[in-house]
Amino acid sequence: MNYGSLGAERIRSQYSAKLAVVFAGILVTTIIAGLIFRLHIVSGPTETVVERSIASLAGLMMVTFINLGVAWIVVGGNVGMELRQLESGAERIGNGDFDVDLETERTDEIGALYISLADMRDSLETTLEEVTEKERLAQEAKEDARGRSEELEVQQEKLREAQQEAKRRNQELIDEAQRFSEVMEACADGDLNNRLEPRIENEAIEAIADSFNDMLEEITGVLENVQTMSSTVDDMAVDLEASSEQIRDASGDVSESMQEISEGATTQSEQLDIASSNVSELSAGSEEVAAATSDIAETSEDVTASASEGQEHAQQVEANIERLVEMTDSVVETVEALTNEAEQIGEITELIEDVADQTNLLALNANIEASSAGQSGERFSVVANEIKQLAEETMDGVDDIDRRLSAIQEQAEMTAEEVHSVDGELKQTSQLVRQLNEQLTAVNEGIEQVDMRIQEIDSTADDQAEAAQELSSVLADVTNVSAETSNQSEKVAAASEETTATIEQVSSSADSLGNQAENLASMMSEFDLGTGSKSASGRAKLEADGGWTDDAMREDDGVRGGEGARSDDERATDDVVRTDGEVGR
Amino acid sequence: MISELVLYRWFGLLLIVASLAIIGASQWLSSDIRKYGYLPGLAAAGMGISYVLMSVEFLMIEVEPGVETSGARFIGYTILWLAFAYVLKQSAGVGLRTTGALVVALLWANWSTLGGWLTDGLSQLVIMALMVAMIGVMVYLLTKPFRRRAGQRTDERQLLYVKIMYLTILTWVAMLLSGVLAEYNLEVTDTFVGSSIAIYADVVLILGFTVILFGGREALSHIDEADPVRTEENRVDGVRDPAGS
Repeated sequence: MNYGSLGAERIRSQYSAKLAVVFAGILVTTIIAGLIFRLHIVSGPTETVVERSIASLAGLMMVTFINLGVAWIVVGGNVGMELRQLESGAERIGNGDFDVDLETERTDEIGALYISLADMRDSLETTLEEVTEKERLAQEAKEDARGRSEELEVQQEKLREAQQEAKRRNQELIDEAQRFSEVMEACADGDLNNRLEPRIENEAIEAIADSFNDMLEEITGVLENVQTMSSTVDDMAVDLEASSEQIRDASGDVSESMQEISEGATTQSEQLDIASSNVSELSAGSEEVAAATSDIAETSEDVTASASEGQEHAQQVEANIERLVEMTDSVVETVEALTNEAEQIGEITELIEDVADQTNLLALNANIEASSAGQSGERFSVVANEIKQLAEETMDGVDDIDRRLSAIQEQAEMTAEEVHSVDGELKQTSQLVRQLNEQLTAVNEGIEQVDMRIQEIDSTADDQAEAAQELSSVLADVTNVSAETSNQSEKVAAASEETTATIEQVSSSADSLGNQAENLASMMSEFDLGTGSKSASGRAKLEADGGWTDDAMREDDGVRGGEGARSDDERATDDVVRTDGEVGR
Repeated sequence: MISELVLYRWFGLLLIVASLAIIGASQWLSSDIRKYGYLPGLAAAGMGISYVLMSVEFLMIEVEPGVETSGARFIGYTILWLAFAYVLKQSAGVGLRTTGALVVALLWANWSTLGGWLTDGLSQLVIMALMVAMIGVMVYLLTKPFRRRAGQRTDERQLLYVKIMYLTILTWVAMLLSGVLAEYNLEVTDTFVGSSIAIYADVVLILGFTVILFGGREALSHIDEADPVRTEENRVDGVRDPAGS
């Protein structure tokens, strides 16, 4: 057996044991402190033993004070809180609140107090519930018994009175029923002038009589209205037949018109197809024109380049010609200088010819002298002859030079003339080349303007191509719309034909309705509504009251089951018309 | 007899070992309340270090001619009272302003003792009077605004708060009486007795703080939950005995 655990459990289960343990701890701590302080007292010098004793005593009191405080914290706090909770719980139980939670983990006296309070709460709650229930049951039984007794007596008395009253009322009801039966038989035979007049005071009988009389009034009013309506319906049937005839004619016209519209739409569609094709060709042509103008623009640019090049060449030719003119002028000057030189050479040759003539004269003189000198002059005469011969040869050379110079002069003059002629030609050619250059410049400007216009034409051709493309698209849409119109027109024409057929059925139904209205009028005349002219005067009265108009009649017709009174053919006709209306729409 | 310095040294080391044991024991607590287990460990460590510093005569102050004592004690008390203030704030659920006032009163009263030692005459008298006044302010805060707010919490939190509150007040009263009876005031006690009372008060303070927090696990777990304001209807519901007393 574990005595330690038993001791702990005993301490836990007994509050007094807990207190004993706490105070034992305080006592032990105080004793230990006392022993320490005793040691302090005896271990010091004798002179100060009194001071040490007082200090130790004070210290012991402080330790005791601290221990008591700790005991108060440990024991007093918990117990105080537990007791406050128990007080609050008991107060709530006393006020009738039994939902107080009184559970605790304590197993000591306070825990037992919790358990006792909880048992008391449960017992009180159970007892109170039982007492309340018994009291309620007793009260209910008492009230129930009293109520049942009184109710039973009243019911017995009522039962007796009711039996007598039932017998009396039964007889009265039998008599009243007999009389009501007679009135109803008369009404059933068509005499609607009779009315039920109750002779007994009974709410049910009075209600039956009032209801029957009201019903008769309603039937009389309805029959009057039916009589009036039958004649009106007859008139309306005639009007309806006439209207149906007119509608049939109009419908036929509409059908023909729609047929024409359909044919016109078909023709329009075909023409639009052709137009669309033409526009497509136009679009293709515009595109070709745009392409051609683009080619022309390119060619124009080439021509502009060639013209510019020719202009440059002309300018080069003009410059060359000017250089040739300058060269011919130089040649003319050279030829003139050559002619002058030739004239100077002619002067020189004349001088040489004069020298040769004088030399020849001298040679003759020398020869004469030599011949006079004889022998000695023979040699001299040879020399003179030689000189004379040389002079003669010189003369011949000079003559030859003179001839050649003359020929050169002639050739120079001819050359000068030809050069002058070439110069004139060159200047004329230069002028022509300048004119050509100016003309080429004009041509170039013209070509640029033409190129600009071609560019504009190219842009315009592109716009025309796009416009033609859009026009082609629009025409395609219009063609589709036209085709759709044609289809719709054909459908409308078909619907119009169906409408015509339906109207013929309506006309037939109106005829039948007129006949049935006549039959209804003859049947209604069999009812006696009190006055012979009442049916005729009913409409007049209603009209005077403002309660009879065609609209009111139609409304009345719908409200009073006119739909039910109409024939199946009429309803079928309405359905057909309604369906056709939806198709036409 | 044993020198008080030796007493301080061994007691300081004992507190440091105890702090490690408390921190180790905190690992057994659930993660949401483990931080509250660290707090007594922190307080014990602070006080242990302070006692070790006192044993080496750190920050010695001449209280009166021929009588010296160490001011290192107040460092440990600063850490300890901050831990107390945090638990008081959390358990009562008061705002930061009220908690700040309590911290000021606690630290002022704590360091006023040192200020009293460093001065004399009228200054000392004023400081001592202010210290007593701050203790009064502290008692007022704990018994009025803190207690009123704690009364709106669950019974477990209220009981936790009340125990720590009484422990705080008891310790301050004990320290105040000890100071009054000390050899540098009324000269009733001597150095050894004064030191012994102080050590015993510190033991009670740290041990009580640890036992109350470790025994109030359920109350601590309610702190971080949405704790509804207590009404008269639920005042008795859910009664538990976290301390097992």
